[in-house]
Amino acid sequence: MVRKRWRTEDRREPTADAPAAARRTGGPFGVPQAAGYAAFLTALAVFFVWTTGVPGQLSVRGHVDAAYSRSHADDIGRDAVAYTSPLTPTRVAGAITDRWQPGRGAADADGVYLRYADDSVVILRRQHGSIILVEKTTTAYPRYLDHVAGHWDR
Amino acid sequence: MSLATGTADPPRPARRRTGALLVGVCLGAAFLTAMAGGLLTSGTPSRVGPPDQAAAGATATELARATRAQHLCYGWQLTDFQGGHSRPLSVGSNAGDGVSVRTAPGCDRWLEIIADVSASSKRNKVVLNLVDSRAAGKEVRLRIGSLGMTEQTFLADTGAAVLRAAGALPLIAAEEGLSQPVSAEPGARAAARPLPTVGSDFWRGRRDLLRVALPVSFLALASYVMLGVALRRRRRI
Repeated sequence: MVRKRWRTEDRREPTADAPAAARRTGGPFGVPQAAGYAAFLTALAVFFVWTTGVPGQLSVRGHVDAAYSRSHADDIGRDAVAYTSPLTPTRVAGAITDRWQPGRGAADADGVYLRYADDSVVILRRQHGSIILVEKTTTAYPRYLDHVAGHWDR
Repeated sequence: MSLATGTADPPRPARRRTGALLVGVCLGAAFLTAMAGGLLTSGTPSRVGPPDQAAAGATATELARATRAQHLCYGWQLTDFQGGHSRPLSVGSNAGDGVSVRTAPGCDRWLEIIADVSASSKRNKVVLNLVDSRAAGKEVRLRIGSLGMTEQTFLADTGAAVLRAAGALPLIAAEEGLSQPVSAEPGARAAARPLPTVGSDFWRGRRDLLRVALPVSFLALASYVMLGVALRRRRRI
């Protein structure tokens, strides 16, 4: 039976000097191999971390701010920050929820209402496209109570 | 140095040490994977079943109002697929709970939302489709997120979720240019209730990726330890 060896550099029969040879190459895992594994796994880890969105926006509020056009005229006092999109409410909601899944949500004839841990994102139908309102859930819940009662609070 | 004999201990074989390191790394990765899987899958339990009758009736009434305004009929279907068999859980339309929009009187043009739930011991799934009467029964896949839900929240209560999806049909009809937009009719003023916590926004929805990313990150870290060990060995020569 032939036993497989980890080391690939030295395929000769083991000699009395084999332990020294192993030490020269850094042991069964030599420096080049270990560096290769480290580089590969680091690249893989970076890829996964990048895919999870860690380096990007760290909240749905940041994501909306980066992805949509700001519309100061549509702000609701200091409570809600407004953005616009030429896309329909369901398409905007689909795009936002792809990156940031809501904890609760609702949809009706007027738009889509997303609830997150602290913030809410309400996407309302406009004649052309949508208006996106980002505000704290504490002020959004009473404002949209007729639309979200039984959905956000379950 | 051996205390008993006073002679030098033989050097521990490098292979044995590396083997132990490898076993440790693998056990660590396996433990982390199991832990991540366990922690990250713990969520809201699924409740696959039909909607509450009163809620279904209220949705039918709301859809009937939209139908009058938009001249388009709306309906829903909820089906459970289990072990190769399908079981209809709920059907309804603007004509009422239990009445399919396809057979509802006076409904030549209609939109129907179909939710197919596949329940299995491993993982439950839901697929949402939209059927337009003009498209000869052709189903178009709908993203659950576009209706403000996630697969998890849908499966937490499939009955309530299919009604929620049906409630969005007048919006979809207006978006698709099938009819004029209509405003949602506020029902009886509901009383505000304390909002339950919904957990971390960051972790939600990233469970599957993190289940892979955590062990890979651990392995990457472990590979740096191995690199350090290898460099130290080389320096000793």
